[in-house]
This record gives sequence, C-alpha cells and structure tokens, in this order.
Amino acid sequence: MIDIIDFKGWILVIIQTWMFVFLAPLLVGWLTWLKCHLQNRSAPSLFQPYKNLWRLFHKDVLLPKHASLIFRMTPYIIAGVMLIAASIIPLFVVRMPSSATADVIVLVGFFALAKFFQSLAAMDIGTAFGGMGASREMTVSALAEPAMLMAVFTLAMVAGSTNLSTVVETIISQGLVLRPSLLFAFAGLVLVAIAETGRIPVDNPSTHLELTMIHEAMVLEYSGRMLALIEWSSMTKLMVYGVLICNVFFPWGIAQHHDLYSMFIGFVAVGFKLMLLAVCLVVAETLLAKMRLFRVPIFLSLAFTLSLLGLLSYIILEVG
Amino acid sequence: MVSAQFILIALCVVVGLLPTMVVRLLNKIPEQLFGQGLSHAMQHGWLWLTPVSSKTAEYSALLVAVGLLVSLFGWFIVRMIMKPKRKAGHLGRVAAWDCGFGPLSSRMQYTGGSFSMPVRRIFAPLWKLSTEQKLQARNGLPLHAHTQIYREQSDDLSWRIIYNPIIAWINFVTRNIGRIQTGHLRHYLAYSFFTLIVLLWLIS
Repeated sequence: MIDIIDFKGWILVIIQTWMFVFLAPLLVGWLTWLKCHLQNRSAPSLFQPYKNLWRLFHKDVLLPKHASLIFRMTPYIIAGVMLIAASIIPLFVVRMPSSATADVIVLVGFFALAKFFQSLAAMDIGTAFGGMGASREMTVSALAEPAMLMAVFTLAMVAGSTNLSTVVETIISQGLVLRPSLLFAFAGLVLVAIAETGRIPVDNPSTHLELTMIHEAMVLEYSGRMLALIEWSSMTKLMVYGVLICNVFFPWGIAQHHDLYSMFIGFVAVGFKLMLLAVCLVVAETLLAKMRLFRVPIFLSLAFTLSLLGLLSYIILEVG
Repeated sequence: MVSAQFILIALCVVVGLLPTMVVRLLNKIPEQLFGQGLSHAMQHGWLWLTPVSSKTAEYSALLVAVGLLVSLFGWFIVRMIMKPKRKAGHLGRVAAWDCGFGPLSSRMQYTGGSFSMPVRRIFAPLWKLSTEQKLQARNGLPLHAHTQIYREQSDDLSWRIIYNPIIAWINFVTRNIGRIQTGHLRHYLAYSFFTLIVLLWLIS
C-alpha cells in the first residue's frame, strides 16, 4: 500500500496538480494554433487562452435576475472537483499518495459531480438555453458513462487493480506487447473523451449557436471570474482526459522513482505525447463535421461496443 | 418544512463519508446468510475501504472529502485575492439572455418532459409512448384557436409484455379452479368419493 504519510509525496501531488491547472490553457492554445494552421488561417499566440482568462478574471460579474446560490457556487465547486480529479492522475510520476485515496471509478464520480452541478446551475436561471444544454449534456453523459466504465473495467482487469498508479506501472512492466484488449479499450476511451470534453463531432467548443451547443449552452449566462473558472475547468478536464489516455495506454517515459532526472524525463515524455495527441485530435476535428444530436447515441454505442470487445478479448485471449 | 429533507441529506453524507462503518454494520447479514462476509474490506483500518485487497482497489471517502474541501477553500482564497474593486457591495443583476424575442416567461422554461425528451426519444423502444395534441377552437372555428392541449404519456413496456400476461394467466387459472365451487350436490359427493379412493390407493 502506498504510504499516505509521505511528506515528499504530497509536495509532488501539489506540484503535479498545479502543473495540470497551469498547463491546461497551453494545451488548448496549442490545439487552437494547430487548427488554425491546418485550416489556412492565421493563428493567435500559444498563450492566448491565458490572456483570455486574465481578461475574464478582471471583468465584472453580472448575474441573471433569478439566479440563486447554486448558480453562484457552481463555478467554485466545478473548479474544486477538477482540481482534485487532476490530483489523482499521474502526470509525470507514479506512486503518489493521492492515487491511493481515490481510484479510477472515483474519477468518473468526480466528473459526474461536476456535470451535476453544471446542469443544475444551467436550469437555475430558467431560460430555455440552459435547459437545453443541461438536457443534452445529461443525455450524452447517460450514454458515455457506461462506455467509459467499461473501458476502465478492461484496464482494471488487465492490471489487476483500479489504482491508476498501479495500472501504469503494470503496463510498463509488461513491455512493448500488442494487447488487443488495450487497443479496443483505447479506441473506446478516445471516443468517450471526445464526447465528455465536448469536441467535434459531438459538440462544437467554439460556437454559441443553439443547434450546435451542449456545453456552451450551460455556461451562456456566466460572466467575469465565474466564466473564467468554468473555462479553466473545461481546459483542465481536456488535459485530464488527454493525460489519462497518454499515460495509461502509452506510459513509457513516466518516472517510477521520485528523483529529479526521472521526473524531468517523465515531464518531457508526457509533453511530447500530449502534443502528438493534440495533432491527432485537430486532424479529426478538421476532417469531421459535428453530428446531429440524435446521431450521438450511435457514436457512443460504438464506444461502448469497442470497450466491451476489449473486455471480452481480455477474457477470451489473455486470461491464463 | 424542509428540515426533514436536510436531516436525510446529512445522514446520506455521513453514510457516504464512513463506508467502512456501514460495511461493518451490514456485514452480519451476509455472514448469517452465506457464512462469509466482506470483513477484508476493513482490514486496513476504518479510513480505507478495500473490498478485495489493498492492491486491487482502495478508497478513502473521508480523505477525498477533505481534499475536496481543501481545493474549494483554495479557489475561495484565489477569488478573495483577485476580487476587483467594486463600487457597491452587491453583484449586478441583469435580465437573462432572451435571444431578442422579447421577455422570457416561466412557460418557456424546460419542464421535466422537455428535459427528458432526448432520452425518451433515444430509448423509445423501451417505453410505450403516446402523444395527444388537441386544439380547442373558439366559436367552433379552428382558425380561432383558443387553447392547445399537449399530453404525453409513457407506459412501461415490461408491464405490458411481462406482468399483464402473468395477471391474465392467473385470472384464467383461478377462474377455472373456482369451477369446483359451482355445480350440484352430487358433484361435491363425486369429488369426495374420488379423493377418498386416490388417498386410499396412495396409503396402501
């Protein structure tokens, strides 16, 4: 069992969590830069998301007339939940005390908690936009969460544990082996990540039109620092999913010991992996168009089927 | 009025934060029924829930709650530091965005039916959905429509496919069994006679 009273470990947890939070806008800036260049447009600076957040933090907050305490508390709750979700994912080092307190199923629970408060706040104002966003978000989530849990179960069966550090270490220890169960789980998790982070083809993150909104509809009434916190939390969520996919399925390079050299290599490795993942995401977003809402169940059923195939192929091919 | 609900909420939160205590209390039931319980769930102390073993899965609800409170407190500190200078104490309140179509009314809000519309449409094969839409005309002229009534009903398919046939079958069987109670006295005497014969045959 990982020692919970490990002072150095908890310092690493704090450093890793804050790196998640502070580097998430850079990932989004890189995504935007790549997308612009791929679409032959002139790109903003890589640090534009930081400038946007700085601007939003210094703007006044205007609340809708009928907003209650839930609307005002939600940005802080979501930011807090994303912070604690980021603390249990191994970014550049494994064997941290925080991953002993919560496993990957609790991570799914954290995302569900954030989504719950987001939907409540959206319905709180009483406009049709918020209701629409909340309804669509809950529909997508009702279909995506079983697929995500199925992919997570496949990983847990391969590694024999739901603890993320243990999963990463087990996959590293097995070397470069082609496992069909992990391939299927990877494909399923990538599709779920696209749905949960609100990227094309499920949702358009850069639009405010009714037909194409899910996440943006829920945050339409926020302004100022509340909007800044919500935008920051969604960037952190994208980075959490990205790091989860990179470090669980391609964990080579991550530091298994708490010395400076290994952690530096781990940091460079995860940075390189995230940049590559961003390129793949941007190519997919440029090639695909956003699906209509009632085609999203087909997309998510595909994710569920792939994850289930991963589980079945583990049971049939890899046990024994 | 709502204090009872708050008590329930508080109990839910307490039960969620101390899962090992709940498992300890409930453990007696499987031990009595199956002879073994989930005693290894509490092997690492009251703070850690380890259903199979510590290596397979471990969870500490109290530490997660503490972490959540610490991170919320952290954001509160950030908010205090970055608070811009405001003229008055209160945040500005404005009307919500109405898309330029005029003032919003409470009838434009999403109801339970509208919130669940995508899920109902996606999982439509599981329910028997019926929609009724009636236009009540004024003066008998449909073009002078007065009220529109919209009604949606969703019935559980399993009630129709599983439960109703079982109920029909039970009714059929009981009705036929009830036939024993009808008839002439000589039918009763015949029943008693044949039952006696069968019992005597069985005993011998």
